Amino acid sequence: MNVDTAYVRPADMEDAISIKASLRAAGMYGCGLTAAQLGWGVKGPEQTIIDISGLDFGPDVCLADSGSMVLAANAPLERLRLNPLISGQMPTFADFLGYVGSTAMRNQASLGGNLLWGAGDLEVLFAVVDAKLRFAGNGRAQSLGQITSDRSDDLLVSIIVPALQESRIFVEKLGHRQAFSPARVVVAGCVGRQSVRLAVRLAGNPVVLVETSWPMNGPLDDALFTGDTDIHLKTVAHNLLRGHLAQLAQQDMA
Amino acid sequence: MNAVTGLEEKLRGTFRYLAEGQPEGTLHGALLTSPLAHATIRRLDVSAARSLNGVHAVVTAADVPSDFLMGTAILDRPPLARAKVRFQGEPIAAVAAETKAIADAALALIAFELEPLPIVSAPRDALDEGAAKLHDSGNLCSDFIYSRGDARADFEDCAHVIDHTLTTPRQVPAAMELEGGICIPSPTGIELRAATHSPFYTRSLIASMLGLPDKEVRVIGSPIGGSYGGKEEIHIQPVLALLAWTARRPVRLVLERSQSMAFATTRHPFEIALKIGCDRAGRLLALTADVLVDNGAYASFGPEVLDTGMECIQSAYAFKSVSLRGRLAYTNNGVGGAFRGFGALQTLTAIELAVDILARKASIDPLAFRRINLAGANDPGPLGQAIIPQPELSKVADALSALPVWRDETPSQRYLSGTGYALVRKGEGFAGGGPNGASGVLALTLDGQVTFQSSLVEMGQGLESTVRNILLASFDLGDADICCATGSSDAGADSGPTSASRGTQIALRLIRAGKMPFLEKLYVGAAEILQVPMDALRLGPGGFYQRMAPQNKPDLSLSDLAASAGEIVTRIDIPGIETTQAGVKVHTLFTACAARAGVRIDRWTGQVVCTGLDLLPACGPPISPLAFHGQMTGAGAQALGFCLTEHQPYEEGTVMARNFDSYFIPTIADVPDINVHPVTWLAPDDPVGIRGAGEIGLNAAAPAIANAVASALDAAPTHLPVRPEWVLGVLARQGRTP
Repeated sequence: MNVDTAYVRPADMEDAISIKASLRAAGMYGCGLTAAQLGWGVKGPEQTIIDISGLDFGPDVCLADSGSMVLAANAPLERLRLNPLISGQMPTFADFLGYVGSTAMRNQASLGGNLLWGAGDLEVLFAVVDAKLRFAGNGRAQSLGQITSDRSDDLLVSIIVPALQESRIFVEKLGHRQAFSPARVVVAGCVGRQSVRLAVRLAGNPVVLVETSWPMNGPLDDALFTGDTDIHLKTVAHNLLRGHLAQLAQQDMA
Repeated sequence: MNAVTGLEEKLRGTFRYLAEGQPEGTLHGALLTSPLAHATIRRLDVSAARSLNGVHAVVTAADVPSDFLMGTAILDRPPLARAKVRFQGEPIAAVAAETKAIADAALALIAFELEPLPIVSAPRDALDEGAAKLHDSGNLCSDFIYSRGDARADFEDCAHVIDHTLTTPRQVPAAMELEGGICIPSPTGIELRAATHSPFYTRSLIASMLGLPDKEVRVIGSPIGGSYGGKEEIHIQPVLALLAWTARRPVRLVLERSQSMAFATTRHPFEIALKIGCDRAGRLLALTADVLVDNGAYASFGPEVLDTGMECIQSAYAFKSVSLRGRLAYTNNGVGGAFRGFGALQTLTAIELAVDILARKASIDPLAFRRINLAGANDPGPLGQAIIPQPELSKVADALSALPVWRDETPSQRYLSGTGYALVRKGEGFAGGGPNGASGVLALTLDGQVTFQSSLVEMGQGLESTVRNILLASFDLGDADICCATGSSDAGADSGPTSASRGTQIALRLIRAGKMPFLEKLYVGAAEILQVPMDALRLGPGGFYQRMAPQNKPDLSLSDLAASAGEIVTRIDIPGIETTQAGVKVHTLFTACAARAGVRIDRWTGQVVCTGLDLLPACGPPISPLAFHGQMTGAGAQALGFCLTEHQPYEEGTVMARNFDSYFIPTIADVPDINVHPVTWLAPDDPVGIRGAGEIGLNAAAPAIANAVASALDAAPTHLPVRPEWVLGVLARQGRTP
């Protein structure tokens, strides 16, 4: 493969922001990018990559006083998978990272990239746990669902996952094979004391997030299964959500 | 450790394929391929491309002798499309230029007009009276008819009869090394460095195209970065040779993956309709088979693939009567060709599924059912031919029955599990008529090494380490004393293709046949130099030792022997192990293998995961245990793809998967533990003593996986790969969805 993409390595965060400002749409932040990224042509992206993999965004994972987990946006997914804080605090996340990509690819890809590039598997999980994204130069953190406008000019610095001690989480990805496979369906759920947040991504459609009361009475919200997708994937998403929720309801009964 | 060529480079990831390391001044080759699947070439004007600065050659069909066509049983394929294009991606023209940019610019300057023709996409439609013809001879490329006994009458006597139809996928070879090479011309000939299973065949083909004597064409075809049959085909060699010969400059031409996905020959999709029946005791009485094969646009190895598939359609069982029909139809769906398993994979998977269905219907355990019907050790072959006796078949069945029972998975609301079995056999080497014989050379070279020279090729299967082990076992020499020279027409002896699982068999038989005459020459030479009788000498590590005066170093080193006596050479020729039979192509030497597979099926998603695989190949004692294990586990992974994930779809002649982001080869995460249990016993009087390991593991693993799916679902797959949509549909009909 002949990759023609140009790369620049900023000295620090300010330098990165300055380069992006000068390049505008001709530049993009990148971190652990691989030439095999889906959606690119064989020559890689046309924009200049502003490589932020070497910048100091703090430790990969740390715990805030509130019990929230703060994750560095440029942390490689494989490092996160192996991080003991994540396995302890949110084992579902650690396990799920085993299905996002192949080891070789996952070693390179970053959490921030997966969340913002538009079709990442982790977006579904982080939607149900109501993770907040913090961008450089902007103290206020935003929920994933609030990011409706294009934030590609902004530099994502960290992701804050709230304390989830009393929540139960599930997430599943269905691809054509076990790993290194584009997702056909990703579903996730986060069940709290009185409510449940459910999210679904069908093929390349946007993530749909629905919050409802727990225990659930009645069928799943049809809104979760919207999008131009074949009936099989909708059936699978439906089965997965119903199956996981039934298991959790049984646990509650027990 | 064996000094296998390139071992360290392979481990370090720095190994280079034949198409890399081009000499200074090498031109860049590029192909103009057809965007349409079926069309008449109305106009093709390369004048502007030829006049572009930096372009050294532009070739089209007009530069190829008009009677030059490629193929094996049927010669029907021009290296560059002539008058018509018959598949998307078929080369129309090629250029050689100073740089890639110039080559691309030249391609853009080629003016051509294609007038679309009706596309023939379904093999059944292809055989309709009114279908558009791909070739003047019609769309029936080849057919196969065979019957034994009276199947119709025997079905009347059956207590149980079942029908089953299976369609199989178009699997892509997906080798790491793409089709490509370098060609270096000289004033009188060319040197072609491009992967091939058969350097001598490639040499004679290229020589005839260029009008050169064979000796003026040198072909280096090995090592190969993976083939699986794809490079048994003639791929870009003729175009590459034509460019270099025309440009009078070295040319490098390597396809891109997206080109390869359309150009490379694929596994033939089969539609196999079977009807089998047995009596109350479970004895198989009758089989009818109607097989329709999508051959794609050119014959290639299609007729041989069909013949092999039909020969194997009875698997390892003794049917009282059979009635078999197979047809190979031309379509505009790429080109089907040689592929590991070679037609047998498809038919063995179908018959093994059918056998399990019938066993269940007869309420007989599938393993017991197989034992009841196993062909006898001295029975004729499946088409009535004389074969090498197969007493190992019962040993394989014994070993399969003796496998430790898998612990059942914990019952789950979500998952179903199943176990499947298969017991198969397939002919090794080529059918009667060959090429089954082979030649090779044993030589003491001037550097003092005992060298086995052959044109067999190394494609990752471990040929070289196997040959080295045979040499070590044959000559009691040290590792540094032996050498294996393979993979080129320099060998001086045509060993035939490294295909059909025959490489190890051929190497072993050649060395075995040449050993004594070669040793005699060595002893004569050594005795003369040392002035002692031959029986006073012993060959050992490093050279010759005098028996009565043992030392820790040889009395005459091999290099001193070579220096004094010159190169000592023994040419070896062995005949093919083959029989011929009127009307059908038959094999004589068969390999048996059994398999057991476990699967877990997700009732929520319809996904199938293979949880375990046991392979029991009856190939005799493995000569190179690691290579043997690699062949088997690799076969298991390829079987997973065949059964669960791989298919190259065509829509109206258009290739739908151009890369591995849409064509799904199993990754290591999909591959379960694969346990290999070699059945090493072969009859003491077996004329070979081993069997090839290249294909048989795949041929057993795939039907075992398919049967495991059938066992879990209580419904046999009708299409491979098994699609989650089909699984959920079956479960819904059974009322077993969540």
